[in-house]
Amino acid sequence: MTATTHLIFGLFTETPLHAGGGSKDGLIDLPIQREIHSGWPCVFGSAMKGALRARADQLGVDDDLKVTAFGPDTLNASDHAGALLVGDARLLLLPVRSLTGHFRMVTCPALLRRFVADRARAGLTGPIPAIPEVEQGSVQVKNPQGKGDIFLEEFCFTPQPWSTADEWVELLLALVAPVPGLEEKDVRETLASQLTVVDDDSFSHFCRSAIPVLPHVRINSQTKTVEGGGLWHEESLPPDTLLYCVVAAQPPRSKRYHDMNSAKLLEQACEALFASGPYLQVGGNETTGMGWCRVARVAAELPGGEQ
Amino acid sequence: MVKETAVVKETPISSARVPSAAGSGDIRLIEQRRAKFALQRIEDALAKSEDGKYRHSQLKSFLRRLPAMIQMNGFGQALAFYYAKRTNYEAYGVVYKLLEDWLCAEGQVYAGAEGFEYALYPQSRPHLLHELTSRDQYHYRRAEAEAQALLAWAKKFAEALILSNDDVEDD
Repeated sequence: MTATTHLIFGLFTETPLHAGGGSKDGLIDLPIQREIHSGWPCVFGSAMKGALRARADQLGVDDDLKVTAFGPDTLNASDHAGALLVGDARLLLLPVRSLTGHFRMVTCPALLRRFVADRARAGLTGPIPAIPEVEQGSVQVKNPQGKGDIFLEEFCFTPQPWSTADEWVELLLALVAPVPGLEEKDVRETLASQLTVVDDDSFSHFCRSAIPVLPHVRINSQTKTVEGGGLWHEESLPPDTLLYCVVAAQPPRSKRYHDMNSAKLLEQACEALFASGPYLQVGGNETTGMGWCRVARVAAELPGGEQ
Repeated sequence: MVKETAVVKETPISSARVPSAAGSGDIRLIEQRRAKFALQRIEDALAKSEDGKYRHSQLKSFLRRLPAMIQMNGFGQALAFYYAKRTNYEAYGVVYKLLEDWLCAEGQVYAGAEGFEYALYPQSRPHLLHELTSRDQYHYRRAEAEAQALLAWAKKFAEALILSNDDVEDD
């Protein structure tokens, strides 16, 4: 079998992200993409790959490298497949407003479990802290004492101590790209103070009720009033959401790069995409500033399971 | 998507005025029951005559607005808003009543709470808001999911059956 090289992209949204899920779901005119069985928001692999390719186009990346990594254009689609395998961007932390103070970065055991499985598949090593067990109606946070009840959206939770919070913070911090001027220590402390685990059922509910919905109107420029039918509601992932995406490279299939191995190609592709800055625009409404993510790269130490 | 938890018992329709959540015996799916109930209510509303306080186009517009409002402002807040506005715009009351009668019907999350008369008396008691504020948060969440599932139908039927599309003024 060919040797595949993996890495995990951490995507931290800096502006609202709208990866459109297509048709109305009866509630929202323009819903975001979600996983059907869990209802968790996500960004499908095809949208992620398109975003990466669009960035390569914008930065004027060398054509040969682009075609090798992402595959040829439609007219020459049968030449060979691209070498990059881009997975779905999966949710890890969702910011939820809190009546009792600053917003919380919320996750649940099921998401953490899946993240651990994805890390293993991608060949990432290192110690994994225990998955927290959360009772209905309570949340786990690093320092619960003196806090009183924690409100998330309209719901009230009793905070419990989370013994492995610090280890989880380290694991998640690797997915948040550093920013010049922001000390790593600050980022770590902020995340530690905001990180909150709720039970899976409550999290499912937040994936509906805590997702921002914005009304948009189309104004008739003659009358300066709303045009008939010109009101619609759009859903988007809020800023400060953390997603991650498993990316792998296979040995290149194009003539020019035929002798290169997958690790080298992945390195070159990432260098070409992110040397100018760890940023990526994903999803719609680019012209209104939406979809900007900060990208962290976590390399695999072992060849992953996707051989 | 809405998780199906409760199995609705089949019972005959108890009153012609307020259809119970459990329909006649040949209906199986909860989705069909929601659709039937919503369609009935929209048709009832269309039989009303329009006047200064009530317009069909308002009903359509208010139904369209509610699902997003629930997600933005919270279920209780959105319901309280609709209840408060019902005296000036009757269509708000029709929407509130649709949700109250459905969520308080037999086999539903707030079964056992009686609805008030269909005539919207200003002094009538808001049963659904009482239930919402007195029961635990799991009931609240279930009610919210159920309300959204019913509204999806009501909104579609209103869009299908109410063709007038005036600009709706709202204070």
